[in-house]
Amino acid sequence: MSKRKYLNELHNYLFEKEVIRKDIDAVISDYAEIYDEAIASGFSHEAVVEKLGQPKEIYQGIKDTLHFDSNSNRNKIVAIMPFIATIMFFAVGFGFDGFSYAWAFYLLIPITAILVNVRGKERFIALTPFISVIVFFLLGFFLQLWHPGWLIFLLIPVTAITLNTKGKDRIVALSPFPLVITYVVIVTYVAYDFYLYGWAIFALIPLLALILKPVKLKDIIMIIAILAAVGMHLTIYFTTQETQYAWLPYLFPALLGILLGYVQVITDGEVNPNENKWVTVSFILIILIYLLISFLVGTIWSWSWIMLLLIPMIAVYDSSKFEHPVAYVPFICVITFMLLGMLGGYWNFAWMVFLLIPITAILTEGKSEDEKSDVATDTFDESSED
Amino acid sequence: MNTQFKKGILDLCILKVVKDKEMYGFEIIDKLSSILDINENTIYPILRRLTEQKLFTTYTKDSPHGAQRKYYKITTAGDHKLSIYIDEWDTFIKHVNQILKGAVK
Repeated sequence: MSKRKYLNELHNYLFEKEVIRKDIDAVISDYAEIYDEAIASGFSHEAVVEKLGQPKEIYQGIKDTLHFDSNSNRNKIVAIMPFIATIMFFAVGFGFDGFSYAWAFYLLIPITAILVNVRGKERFIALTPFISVIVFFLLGFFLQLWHPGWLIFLLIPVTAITLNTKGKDRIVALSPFPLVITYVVIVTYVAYDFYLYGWAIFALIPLLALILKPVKLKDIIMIIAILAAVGMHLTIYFTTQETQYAWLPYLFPALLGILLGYVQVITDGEVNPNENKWVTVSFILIILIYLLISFLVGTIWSWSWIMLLLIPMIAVYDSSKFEHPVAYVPFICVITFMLLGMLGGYWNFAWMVFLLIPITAILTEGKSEDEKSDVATDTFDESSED
Repeated sequence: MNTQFKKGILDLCILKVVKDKEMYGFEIIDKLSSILDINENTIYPILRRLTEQKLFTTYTKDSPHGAQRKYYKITTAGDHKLSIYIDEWDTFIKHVNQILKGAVK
């Protein structure tokens, strides 16, 4: 857990308790300062969290000093949205024979919940998956642009990176996306065989990361290794046309990168070379499998994208395991819905799977107030009690 | 010893250390928790409550490592409250000592 995650949890907890924004900001600011001071004094993250307490404990301690938002209308809007979505689904489904796309009205439920309950930049980040799905379907159904329309899903990481990074870090983190778009657009509209050798452009990503910071000797070695690999790759391809071996030169900079400590994994906003490599590997594998299957079969672009939903599901598992099972359900519902609709043509009743979202939420998130406030409020250690 | 009583003592201690020296949040937490056997996470809520009650005022100052620190300073009302707490404490201790010395028949 990082400082940002700890403070986010505290922020979210206070927000759930409907504490007014001014108070939340003040408490978060105070805890950020105390956290930094404690870290500067030599305490580990775990020790600081132990000292400062978990969000629930903090809330119990300060709730008498907080002010609360009395506006309950926002919850009514969220509560009524499933009914509005259902009415619109049937109206468009029966009225315009649009069951295959009318399910998109159910996206109004999470979108409304996000608009009402999520604030600041997190709101934009949370909305992008839904905006992406809507745009993807508009492109797919009306313009038959399933491919390369799937590129719109890049909006999700691009938004998160743009809003959470700055300076050179942002440039490096965003660099893969224009390259992916360029690669896919050239392959699709300009030169199909570009996909065989054009992926050499992705070498620009590590090169950019290396040259945007003060260059040391090991950076120069790494740059030379990458450029040499690109040169060898293109030489092999254009002289022998042996595409199956053309990637081999990249093994050298890849291994060198591991040895020199360049290959790292970013988790919770912090670079961590030792944890969660499986997450990154999983993401890459899913994207590769998705592209491979979609390109090979060709006719499944309209629904093969559901494989990509495994990416946010893995991210959820990585951050909170099964603490909030409901977080998985929207993805499971969309996958089930698409499979029922695309493979079986059951659009007209497949929408019912979306009812799993509120059902799961009620079953798994509906703790009683007593349970929520069941926190020891004693100010002294248990051990100090008489 | 009940919780409310302990909370009252902590109010007294925090008012006193801040009256003696204006300090920032972590400094107060660190100082008190090194002397008293208490959960550190209980001090910030008290600081916040005493500030809400206008017994403390706050101001910010740059720390040596650049970030800003929020300093707590006792107000006139805080000073007055501290005097009351100290009087109550002295009286309480006096009575307890009387009992311990067998002065109560």
